[in-house]
Amino acid sequence: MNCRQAERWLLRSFDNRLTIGEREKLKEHLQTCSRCQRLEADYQLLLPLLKLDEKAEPLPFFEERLSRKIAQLGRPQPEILWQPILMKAATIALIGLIIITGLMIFLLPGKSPALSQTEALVFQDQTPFPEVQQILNEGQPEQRNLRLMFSSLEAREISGRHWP
Amino acid sequence: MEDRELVQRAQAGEGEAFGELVSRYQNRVFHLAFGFTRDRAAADDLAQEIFLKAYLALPGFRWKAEFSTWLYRLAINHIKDYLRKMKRKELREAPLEEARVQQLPDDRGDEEAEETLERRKKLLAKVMATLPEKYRIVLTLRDVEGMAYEEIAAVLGASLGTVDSRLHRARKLLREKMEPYLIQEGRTP
Repeated sequence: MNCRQAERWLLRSFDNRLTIGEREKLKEHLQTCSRCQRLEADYQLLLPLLKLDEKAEPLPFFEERLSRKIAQLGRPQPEILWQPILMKAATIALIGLIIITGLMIFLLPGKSPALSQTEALVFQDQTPFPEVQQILNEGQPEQRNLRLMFSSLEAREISGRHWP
Repeated sequence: MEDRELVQRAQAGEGEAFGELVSRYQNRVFHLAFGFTRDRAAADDLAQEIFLKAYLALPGFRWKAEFSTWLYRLAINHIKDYLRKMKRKELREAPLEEARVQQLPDDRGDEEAEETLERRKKLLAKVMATLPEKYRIVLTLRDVEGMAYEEIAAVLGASLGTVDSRLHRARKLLREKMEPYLIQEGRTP
C-alpha cells in the first residue's frame, strides 16, 4: 500500500467506511510509515475542531419573528396543477417551432431569382450595351472619344435634363 | 404527526402546520447556517430567510424527495448565495491576513484549555472559509453537521462516489492549509 492510498483509507476510517480487511492493511501501513502517522495525528487534531457547540441555537423568539414576517407576506399562491404542464407544453411547442423553421429553411428548395435583362445578356455572353461596344470598337481614339461624348449628351437630353 | 401530513396541511394553507414544521426543523436549519457563518446573528437571519423561502416554495413541493432533504437543499442554495455575497464583500475588504499572522495556540494548562480550543476553532473556521465552495459545503455537511454520506448525496444531488472524493479532497486541502500552523506549533514538517 502506498501513502496516497493510505491517506484515502485513513480519511474513510474516520467515517467508519472501511472493511475489516482494509482497516487491517491501514493499521499495518501506519505502524511502518512515519509520514502517515503524522497525517493521522494532524487529522485527529483538526477534524474534531470543526464540530460546533451543540448549545448553539437561534436567537430568542425565532418562531414569533418568523410568523410576523409570514403574516406580512400573506398566503402564498397555491401552484395550480396545470401550470407546470402548461410551462412544459409551451417549451415543447417553442422547440418544435424552431426545428420546423430550421427544416423549412434548409430543406425546401429555394425559388431561383428572376434575372434582369442586363443579367440575362451577360449570362449569355453578350454585351448589354451594343451601341457602346460599337463605339469602343472604333479604330481611332479621337473618333471614339467624340462619339462617346455625343452619345452621352444624347442620352441625357432624352432624360429631359436641361443642358446649357 | 408525520412530516407528510404537516406538509399537506401547510400546502392547504394551514398556518399552524407550517409553524409545527418550523419548530421541528428550526434548530437543524440554524445549526447548518451557523456551521457556515460561525456567527449567531447571521445564522439566525439566514434561518429566517430560509423558512420564508420554504413557505413561499411549499405549494410547489411535490415529494420528489423527503421534506427534510428538500428543506436542506433549499437551505444550502440560500447559504451558497450568502457565501458568494460575503466573498465579494471580503474581497473588497482585507481577506485572511489576520489568520496568516496568528499561530495555532499551545495548550498551557487546564484553565487556558477552553480558551485555546476556542482560538483554534476560530483559526480553523477562517482557514475553512478560504476553501472552494464545493469543498466547504461537503466538509460542513459531514464534519460539522455529521450528516451521513447518503444524506449529503441526496441534498447535493450528487452520487456517493462524488461525495466521497470531494470530502477526501476537502479534508486534504484543509490539512495542507493548516500545515504551517501545525509546524509552528511544533509538529515536525
